[in-house]
Amino acid sequence: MIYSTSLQKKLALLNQVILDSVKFQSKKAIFSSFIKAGIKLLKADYGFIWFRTKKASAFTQLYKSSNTPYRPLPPRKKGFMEKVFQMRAVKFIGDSTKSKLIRDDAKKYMKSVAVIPIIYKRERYGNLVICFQRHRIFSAEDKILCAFIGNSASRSITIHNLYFRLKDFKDTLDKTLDSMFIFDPLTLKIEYANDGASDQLGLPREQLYRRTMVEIQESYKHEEFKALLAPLLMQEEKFLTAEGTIKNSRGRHIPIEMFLQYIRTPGRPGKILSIIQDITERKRVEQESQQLLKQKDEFLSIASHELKTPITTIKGFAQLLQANSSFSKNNVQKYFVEKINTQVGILTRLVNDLLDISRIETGKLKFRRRIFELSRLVESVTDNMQMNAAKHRIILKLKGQFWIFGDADRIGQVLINLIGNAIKYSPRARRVIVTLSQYERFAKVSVEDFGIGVDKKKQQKIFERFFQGKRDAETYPGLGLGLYISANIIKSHKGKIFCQSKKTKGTIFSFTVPYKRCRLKKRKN
Amino acid sequence: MPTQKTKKLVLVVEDDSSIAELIQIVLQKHGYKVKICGQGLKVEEMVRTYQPTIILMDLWIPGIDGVKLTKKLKSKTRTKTIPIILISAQNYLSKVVRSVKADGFLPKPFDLDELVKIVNKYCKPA
Repeated sequence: MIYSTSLQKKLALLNQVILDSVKFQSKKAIFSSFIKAGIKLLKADYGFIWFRTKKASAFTQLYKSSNTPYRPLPPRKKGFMEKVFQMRAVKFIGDSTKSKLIRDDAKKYMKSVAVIPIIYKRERYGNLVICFQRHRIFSAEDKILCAFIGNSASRSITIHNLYFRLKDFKDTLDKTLDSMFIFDPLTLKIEYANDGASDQLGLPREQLYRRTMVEIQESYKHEEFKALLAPLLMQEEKFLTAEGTIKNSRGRHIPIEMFLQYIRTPGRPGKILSIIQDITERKRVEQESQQLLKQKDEFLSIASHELKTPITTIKGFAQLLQANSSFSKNNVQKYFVEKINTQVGILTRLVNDLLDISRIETGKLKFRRRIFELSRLVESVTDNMQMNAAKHRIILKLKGQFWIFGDADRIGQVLINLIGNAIKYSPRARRVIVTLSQYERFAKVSVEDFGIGVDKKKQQKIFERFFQGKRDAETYPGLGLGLYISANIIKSHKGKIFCQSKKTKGTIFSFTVPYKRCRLKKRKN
Repeated sequence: MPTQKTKKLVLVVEDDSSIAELIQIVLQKHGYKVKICGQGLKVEEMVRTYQPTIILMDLWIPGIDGVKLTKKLKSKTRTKTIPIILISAQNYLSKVVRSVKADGFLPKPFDLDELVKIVNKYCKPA
């Protein structure tokens, strides 16, 4: 379409109005600028605006020229204004006196009128009304101009709305206290940083925009940072977290955790969103708890060492006494010394348990593995336990020989623990059955007692630390560490430990360890 | 009974007097001469004066680093042939024992039979 030079000039002026209007804070200001432009371009006298959004059912007057000679009444429902609004086309009335569309009270103040719907594509915002106090004949050029004014006003409002919606969004993001960055995944250049980021680093945002992610943190160099991002860009991971440190403007090193996410929008270059959190407090708590844990382990270790010295002495002198009393006929003395010996044995085990616990906790439980034959170990442990058992008879059922690669002392410790428990928790029974058999590719050792049994619910928990059977009704001595240690020992030997039990009927504790198919050559010598 | 001259001498480096005494009683019963080197005494000096057949050394004595000392004794020509048995409350010390070239290890609390057995192994009483 070819416009006349005057129309081109007018359109250029309107374009300027559009550009200027974006800066305005309110809709009213935008509309007024268009009304003013319309009045000027059409050489009209005054004008006003009936504002209405798509959803609203009635018009509201948003603005009128200061020289408007009367108070325009609100438009009637389904009246002229509504029609223009719905028809989406400019309506001119050259001579109001002959028109039925104009109210009589208004006819006095306007001879001609142009009603321009403010529409652009699907957006509608009401009508601009531009009034003339004399008759005016509208040309084709006027029509184009008016349509253009309507379109432009609508576009400006749309842009204005969009702008403020984005601005609200950005303001919210800006004011978030967590530090946020948006940066380019290739150059690592910061494209956005919020106030939180600027506060944390102690740098104004304008300065941040001139830096890359490599410059704001200390832990990753350019290539390292890119390597860090690789799983995101390859879409192997949806997000990543990484720890590091940043140095703020005051030179303080702050431990941080970086959250990284790759955000892609179709048709746009992908960006990385990074949220950086100060983890000073978390680090401090972590360090403190580690320190505490270390102190606890040290204490346990020292305490059990210190306990072992007097135990050694007591044990030794009791043994000397026992050797002496075995020659004497004083049976009471002999009995007493025996008692001391058993109790020292128990004490030694408890102290060792405490040491083991601290080793398990710190992952320092060590094993002296070698090839040994399990049935011989079971036999000797059972013999030893039988010597100390006052009432119970330990029945041994050995079904085969099994060569095991493991720590014989530790496996023996497990068996001692299980037999000890069996005796302890079956005070009214007279026997304990120890069975060694094959179970698939494992050697299985079971210890069966006929005692108080274990609750179904507790059977799961029984291998946990500090667990103890039946604290309420009858109490049994012990620290509740034995099964926890045993479970750890068996686990380290790639075996399993488990418990089957019927309340008041008894319990079977079993453990399995993988055995070797054949004896090693070394053994034959 | 062996005469005073033929008796073999065991040097016990141990700060806890009751344990030292226990070891002394037991080993004397089995025909050994026992010298105790407690806290504050110079081990090396005693080794030089008494020329013990075997040394029992507690690893954890205040003021004496048992590991360092063992290493030192094992590195000197005059003393390196003397067997050293480490005594400690730590159960698993095989690595330490090997690294300082000690000859044996006795975990606390030990059985008296074990004590005698290990001493006998390194020097049969005359």
